[in-house]
Amino acid sequence: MKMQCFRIIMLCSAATIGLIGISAPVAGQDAESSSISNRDRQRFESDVRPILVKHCYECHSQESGRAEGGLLLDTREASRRGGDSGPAVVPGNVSRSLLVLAIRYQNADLAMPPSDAGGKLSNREIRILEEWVRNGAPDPRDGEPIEREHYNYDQARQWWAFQPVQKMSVPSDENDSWSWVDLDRFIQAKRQAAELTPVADASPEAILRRVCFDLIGLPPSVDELQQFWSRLDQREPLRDILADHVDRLLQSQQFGMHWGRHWLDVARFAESSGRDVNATYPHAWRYRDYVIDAFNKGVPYDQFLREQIAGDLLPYQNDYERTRQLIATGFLAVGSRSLNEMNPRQFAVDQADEQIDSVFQATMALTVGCARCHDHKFDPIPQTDYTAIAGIFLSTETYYGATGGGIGRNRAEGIALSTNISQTVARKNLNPNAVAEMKEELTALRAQLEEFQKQRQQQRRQPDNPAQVQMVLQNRARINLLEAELTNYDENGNVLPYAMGVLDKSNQAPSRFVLARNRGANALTGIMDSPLFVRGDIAAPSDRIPRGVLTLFDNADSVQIPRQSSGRLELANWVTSPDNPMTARVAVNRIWYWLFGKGLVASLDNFGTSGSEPTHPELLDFLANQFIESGWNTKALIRDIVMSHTYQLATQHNEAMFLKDPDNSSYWRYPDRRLTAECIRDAMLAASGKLDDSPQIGSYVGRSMAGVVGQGRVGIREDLVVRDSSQARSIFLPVPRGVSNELLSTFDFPDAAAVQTARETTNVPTQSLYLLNSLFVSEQASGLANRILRSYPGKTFDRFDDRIELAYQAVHSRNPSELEKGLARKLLSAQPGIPKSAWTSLCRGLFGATEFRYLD
Amino acid sequence: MTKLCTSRQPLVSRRDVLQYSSCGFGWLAFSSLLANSSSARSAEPNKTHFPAKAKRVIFLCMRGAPSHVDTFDYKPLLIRDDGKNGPRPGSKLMKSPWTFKQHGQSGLWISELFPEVARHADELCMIHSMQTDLPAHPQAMLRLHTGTSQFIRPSLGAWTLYGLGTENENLPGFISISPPGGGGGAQNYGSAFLPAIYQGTKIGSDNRASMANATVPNIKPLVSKDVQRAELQFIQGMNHEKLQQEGYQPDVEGVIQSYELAFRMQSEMPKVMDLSKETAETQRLYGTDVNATSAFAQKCLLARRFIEAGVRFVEITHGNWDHHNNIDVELPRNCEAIDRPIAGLLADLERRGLLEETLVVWTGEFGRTPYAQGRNGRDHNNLAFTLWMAGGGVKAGTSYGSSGDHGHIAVDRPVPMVDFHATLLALLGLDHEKLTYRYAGRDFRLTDVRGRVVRDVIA
Repeated sequence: MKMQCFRIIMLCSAATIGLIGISAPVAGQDAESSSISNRDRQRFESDVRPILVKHCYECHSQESGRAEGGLLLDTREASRRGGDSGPAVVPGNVSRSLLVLAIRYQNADLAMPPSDAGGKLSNREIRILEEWVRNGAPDPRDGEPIEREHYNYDQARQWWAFQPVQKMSVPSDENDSWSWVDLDRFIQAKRQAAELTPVADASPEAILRRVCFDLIGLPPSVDELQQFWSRLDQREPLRDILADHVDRLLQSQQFGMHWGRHWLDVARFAESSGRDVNATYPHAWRYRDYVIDAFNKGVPYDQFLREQIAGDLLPYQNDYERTRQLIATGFLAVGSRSLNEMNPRQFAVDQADEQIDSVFQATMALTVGCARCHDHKFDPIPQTDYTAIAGIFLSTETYYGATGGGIGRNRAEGIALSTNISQTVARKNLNPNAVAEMKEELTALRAQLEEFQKQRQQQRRQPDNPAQVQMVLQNRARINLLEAELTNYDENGNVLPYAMGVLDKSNQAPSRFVLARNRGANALTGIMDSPLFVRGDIAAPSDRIPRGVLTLFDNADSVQIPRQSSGRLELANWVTSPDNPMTARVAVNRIWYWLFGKGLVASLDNFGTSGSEPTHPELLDFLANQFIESGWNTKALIRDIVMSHTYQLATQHNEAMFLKDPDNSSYWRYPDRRLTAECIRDAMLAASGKLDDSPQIGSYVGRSMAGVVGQGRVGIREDLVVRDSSQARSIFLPVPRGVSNELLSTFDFPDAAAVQTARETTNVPTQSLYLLNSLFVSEQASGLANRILRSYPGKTFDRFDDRIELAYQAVHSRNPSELEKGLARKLLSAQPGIPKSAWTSLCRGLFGATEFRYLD
Repeated sequence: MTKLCTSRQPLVSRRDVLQYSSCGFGWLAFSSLLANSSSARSAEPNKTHFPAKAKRVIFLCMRGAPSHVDTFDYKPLLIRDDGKNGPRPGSKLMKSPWTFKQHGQSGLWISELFPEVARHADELCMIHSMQTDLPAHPQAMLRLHTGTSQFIRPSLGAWTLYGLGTENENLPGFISISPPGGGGGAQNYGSAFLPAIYQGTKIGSDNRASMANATVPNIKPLVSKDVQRAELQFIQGMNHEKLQQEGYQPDVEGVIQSYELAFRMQSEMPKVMDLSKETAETQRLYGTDVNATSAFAQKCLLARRFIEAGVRFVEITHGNWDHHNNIDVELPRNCEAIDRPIAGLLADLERRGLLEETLVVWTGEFGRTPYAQGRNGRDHNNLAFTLWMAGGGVKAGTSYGSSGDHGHIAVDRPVPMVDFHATLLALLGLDHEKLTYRYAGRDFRLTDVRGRVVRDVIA
């Protein structure tokens, strides 16, 4: 942490004062110059250097005082670091070396030297430089490069997260009687070194409640709680009872409904496009169900990622598998997009950018998107790397299935799924007549439009009649909707299954699926390498950079992308390789966060140099290794963590420990935290007995006619999203962008604008108002009151002890104290005549108490 | 009752604050609530460190970083040098496509994009030499609002409320109107380790256009007042019990206080938020009647009503100002949306005698480059940008510092963000070195270990 601050402050002050500092010599530099063979040195001095001096130094050297495009070519380090657009010289890699691309003069925007400075080099000179780069660019020039207001990449490469995951041996301390499992030993060793002692264990009920919420997002039922108590009464060891519970919870289908939702935060999942138009994504729910299913089935995490990045390119045994893998690629399609974007090139490039950002943040916690317009300012990601990745996504067609802007701008269909197998669908079949009617209407509207256009051509000189223009726009909007709607049915009115997702572009013909008015988009069709857009400007394309992966770990050259495919499969394999030092660490850190409310690395989605360092680096690597060796088994890791002593500590405050370690970074206690919005909602429904915990088919968005998020007619109605009356688990609530269920938004549900693992937890009066005055809470309180009075009928104070115990067990997973019983009696006596009202008030009170929404 | 327990106002000394938990502030204050004393009492404001120039703040945050060289920072040499090489290698300077004129007695230069605000030139105090650490939105938003993007720290509004207390115990002391979801999110109006009662209450979200009928949801009780009191007594009893058991539980204290405030807000908030109480003339003054301006106008009007009712700190976020491209269309559109509402706000505050004690601040998280990005945009610039203030004891009709010939970098008397924070607190009568909060054995400040008050902008 300290180290990190120091770096940032150094960087910032340099930037703030605008000083041009001199970078320290990079370690290993001298070694390189002395390791150059005499032959290479001679060749450099006789052939290469003269060309550089003669043609390049005038604009790119310290001596001339000029660094056009941020580029200096007079030292080895400066040439390799390059300028605004990426490294000028990548040893051994001609196609990534901008110097070579520039002197080849293939692209007007990046043709060097410019014509007014001598123009294109001779063929011989070009060959010499190409040959030099191909042979590893041996370069004896040791000078210290001038630091631009720019990051030192060599130094950045030393950042902890970019180093290989280390094999860690478990700390062994014979006197360590506290630890139960290996992970405890790491925690304990560090805690002891800091002379901190852990608090006592949590109560059995608290641990049970913790495990239930953390594994399935629901409290233990009253029955479960009583069985738990009776086993404890029979003196069964707590550890065994818990182990049984944990295994049962991991097998429950509720597990996926809770953990799937965690991943949906990472996947910035939402059911509409957000931004300008906010058109609905009627097929998004299939991806949601895929995620739930993947967690329940225990799909290995590496496979889970591969399916989401390149499911369409993976082999398959049958239509079921194919369907599943296609749906998985919905990950790449569910992001936000500006459907009103008029420039199709811009739209395509923006979409690819959103995908790049999401893929790398979700898998490796890297902010690659920062390198879109210039080299990354903090991490060793040059713009050329960004461009190599961009080619992969520009060679990919995204089927997001949305109606597009008003008259259908950027409209797209979904991927048609196989109809040879039975597929779940969200909508009901239509009467064949209804389909025919829609088609007739469509024909009539098209004819009308044609007629108008004909008229308009005839009276070309007359100004358009505003009413008529209005009519045409309405006409076209309706045509767009009907066209979109009709794709959902076959001739007979049967609903056709579609998914959101991606496929590789075809080299033969532009896809028939993208119905956008994509004139001008031709430049971006088919499998292609992306041009480097100077400063991110699509009007300034420079040389094409071959598709590839990041050069961060020196293994970029080993990834070969076939000419006829986008490269997503190669990218997915690279990301999920056991040698990738980041993917497993990021995953393990997130799982830790979901179980402890904070990560071993605080910046969950940023493992770059502007992020944090781990509090327990050894433990992080130990868990990452274990995770990989277990076959990327998420459930096994969760089980290991919740069965640890560290996880089962009390949340008890301890003043002495607090003063030594206020952030609890040594885990001297279990960090209590607020439940997520979904847990709060689902737990209330569970207590009232109204929860429908079965998997739901489709969603409100999927059932509604395609359109936008708005007031209804077409698309979906905001008010129905805000006050959704469903009693299903929260993961099945409609989640368009910009509007969400009232409870969810009150308790900090994320906005799905980008990958965001961590949940906010605010503590504001609007939450208190919700708990006091909302209809939803009132309904659940009244449901629980009914349940209590049904179990124990009578007047307000009859069977008080039985009733109050049931109430506390259902809401707080424990029995009340005498003091609390006294408080309850007092509340009941506010309206003693009406048992239902009195007990409803009490139940609302229980939901309102802080304990209910915190996990202790 | 003891002094501590009769005072429902947040207290300034950390010793008192620490005592909250030990004597169960919430519980006792709540007892007075049960004694049917929920009607507004006149609050004694907390003592300030020195006489305050301003008592409250309206903070206009332009999310995305507006271009200073196109709005409030006149750069004749940028016009002259249009198309020449910019300070960043390979870049080309781009003059502002909009013309600037001098306004008022003060002769401050303001671009034609702000014709209405320009009428108030003589009330403005511009700082042209603002600087911040990082040219990245989330980090800079957090830096602007909390002083750091590295750690979770209390926001400006929370510090202000902590320092000054509230003037109306029936309303949140800190309200954030339509804050953005991203860019640091709730941290921008959070209280971090300060008690949760200092956290900003969010009204409206980023994307909601109209505030005409905006309410705080669930403000209306479903049950009678007596039953609600009984429910609250139960809830607070439970909360208190938890607090007792666990010793130190800032979250529980936060919940306790939030219930008290929620209870009192029920009667007060709907009245304050009812914009229909304003005359047609006032509505027009802000521009609620025009499509282009109505959304921001309603927010400004709401801000004035909150301030008038005793809210200490009101922030309005507007965006997006991140004009990497299409600046020729989008910048004028944004300026139009806020120009008349801000002018209306200044005029209205003035005629009601509120401007003198209300500090109005307008700023983005950083500025933009004088050189072009692409053909029609400007890139991030953290080395220079303009922030202006009005009212609340600032030196009206003046400008401070300079961003150099072209607006690229502050050359004359640069004002790093931390100095602005020190200055803001000074205007409120608070010494940034003395406004501390002890957390985990250390005294924390908004300005950490730095900060210098820019005396020259204070009247």
